[in-house]
Amino acid sequence: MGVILRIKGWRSRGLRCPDQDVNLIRTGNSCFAVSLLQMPNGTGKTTTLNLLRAALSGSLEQRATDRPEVVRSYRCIEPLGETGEFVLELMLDERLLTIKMNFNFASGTVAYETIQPSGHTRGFHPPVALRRFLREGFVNFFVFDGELASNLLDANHTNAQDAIEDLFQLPLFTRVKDAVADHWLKSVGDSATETKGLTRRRNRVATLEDRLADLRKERKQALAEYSELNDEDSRLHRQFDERLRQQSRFADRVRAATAAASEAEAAVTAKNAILLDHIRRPHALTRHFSNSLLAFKDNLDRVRLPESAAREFFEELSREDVCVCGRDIGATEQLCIRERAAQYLGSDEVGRINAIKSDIESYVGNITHDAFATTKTILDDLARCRRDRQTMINELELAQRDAVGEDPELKSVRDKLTALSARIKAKQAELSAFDDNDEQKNDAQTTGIKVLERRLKEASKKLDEMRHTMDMKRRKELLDGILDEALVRARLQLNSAVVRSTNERIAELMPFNSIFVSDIDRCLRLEHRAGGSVGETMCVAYAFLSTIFTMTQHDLPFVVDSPANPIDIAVRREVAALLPKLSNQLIAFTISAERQGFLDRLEKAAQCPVQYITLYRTTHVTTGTVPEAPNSVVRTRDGVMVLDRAYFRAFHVEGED
Amino acid sequence: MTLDTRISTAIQGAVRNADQPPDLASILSTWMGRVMDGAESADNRDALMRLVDALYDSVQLPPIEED
Repeated sequence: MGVILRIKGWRSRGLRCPDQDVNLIRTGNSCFAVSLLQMPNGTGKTTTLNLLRAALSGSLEQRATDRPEVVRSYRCIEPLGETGEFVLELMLDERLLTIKMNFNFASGTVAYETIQPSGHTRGFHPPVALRRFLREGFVNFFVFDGELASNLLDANHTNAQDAIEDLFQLPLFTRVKDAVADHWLKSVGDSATETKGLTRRRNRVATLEDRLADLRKERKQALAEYSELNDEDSRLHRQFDERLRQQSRFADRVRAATAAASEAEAAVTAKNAILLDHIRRPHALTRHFSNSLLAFKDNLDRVRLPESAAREFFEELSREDVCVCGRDIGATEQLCIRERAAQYLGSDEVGRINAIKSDIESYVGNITHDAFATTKTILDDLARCRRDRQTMINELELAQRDAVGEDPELKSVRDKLTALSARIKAKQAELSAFDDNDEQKNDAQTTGIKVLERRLKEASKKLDEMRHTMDMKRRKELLDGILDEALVRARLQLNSAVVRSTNERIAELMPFNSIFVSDIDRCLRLEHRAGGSVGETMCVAYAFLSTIFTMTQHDLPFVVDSPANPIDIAVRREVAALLPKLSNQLIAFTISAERQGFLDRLEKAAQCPVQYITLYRTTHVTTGTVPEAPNSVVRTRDGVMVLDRAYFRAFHVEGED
Repeated sequence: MTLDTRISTAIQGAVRNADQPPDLASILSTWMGRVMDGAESADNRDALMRLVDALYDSVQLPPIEED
């Protein structure tokens, strides 16, 4: 079972209808299955029905803001009131739910209140389970009148289709489809439109992968060859040295020259270290540096950085009400001071500058001429050591050349070493090409492995993004198709079932009228005819509503205005038999003229006690004797409500047929 | 209350027609049934997005074709 909703009763004060306290409770929380409210024309029957609709749908809450005249149309005229109140008490699955409307006729507004066991809230806030039923479009299906019955058969209205779709929640398919579209946009972001050129991107990645594989293979080969060349170089050097040592005439000379060259190299290294250490004190290198540093310090002194007037001072000032100059600091001034505070140094920055000034003073201020002379001495020493080293190298090369000149085998080794050196240099050049970082060259031209790796990474990323985008797009399109098709299938199957069941009910109600529904296309379409009489239209509407309420298993009250008035007496009996089956709570507003042929059959069909309420204005001239029992009569400011079956059946207002 | 059989049948038919696994129909029908029961609100954005995540994951795609 779905939702079980009952109308427990209502109360109105200060409105266009007579003040009334209607209670539909039979025992405990159980309501009468059938309640008949007999209200003569002019008693405010339409107003009461509209109030029920407004309370059930919250419609006046929205409408009041732009159409105050609608609200004022509910105003009690005699006497003219400033405020009014309508309270509707409902039972939702055994829990009390109260909707209260407070009318303010001066402002033309209605303030809603929603009262549930969980609390009291301002506004119209029915529970989630009820929201799809308690809205203006749907409330008309269970607070029903002849106008809606006509609309159900009118091609200009979509009521019939809307009712089916609302009750069976078919708009959920669209809701899910919208969410599918949102999900797709979120997951693919800006690349949503990039779904072409997959092959091109895939080929680029494949080309780059192939090119990189080739280059890595070439580099591996080149590295192996380079290693072999170096091994050969080492072997030949060892062979050369061994042969040289065997040349007794040159061995000592070469050994001495080698030792002297090593010693000269060590001296150059030592002098370089001394120079580097000296360079770390630039003010001691030349007077130009020291003079510039002192000038910088003098300039900082002239700036006179304030001790406390740092950025923080102005930020604190912006929080004060009055400036140091005595003027008030408003919001504009505060903003201005805060913005301009950024132009000042912070206290940490001032501290750093003071430290720089102090260092210049201590390191540069006391420097003497001797410091600059030291620079020159170090540079002279280094130059001398370099010259000595070159002399030793020359001596070593001369000794080797002399030895090679006198020994053909040594010369042969030297020649091989010279040739090998050229090959090693060429191989080094070949290897360095793999480290080329030039981004201007295209994929085929460049041999830079890192360049190609970067390009492959980027191309792979773009390919993955496109694959993801396309994958998501295909999933979205598939889901869209399924949701569209499911909606069409569901609509067809439901419409077909509703038509079949509605026709079965019509056949029971009007077996001789030959009126049937052929299909549902926005409205109910009749077989071989455009429309029916008022009575036939009402019967078709009842049959339709009876069908959809039964099919959806929701147990809603059914409130109907003049259910039998426009119907022939013969058909009235059938309608009277059907109405109690429409809902487990039928509330029918009637007039005395429609009792004939209706009441007896209704009582019989109800199979349980029927509640009879007669409500009229005190100004009405009526027939019938008001019963004596005090519990059967409720008198209000301008109305009389009689809860009595006999009175209901005998009641008549002069002039009403 | 469960989802009306005509609606669940419609969903199953659409899913089958798209050559998709029955799980996809079950996921959608279960969520719609919960909304119909009032156990879940269709306005619950988180639940709706969880449903959509599950639907996307359940889709089985044929191999991609070259463009």
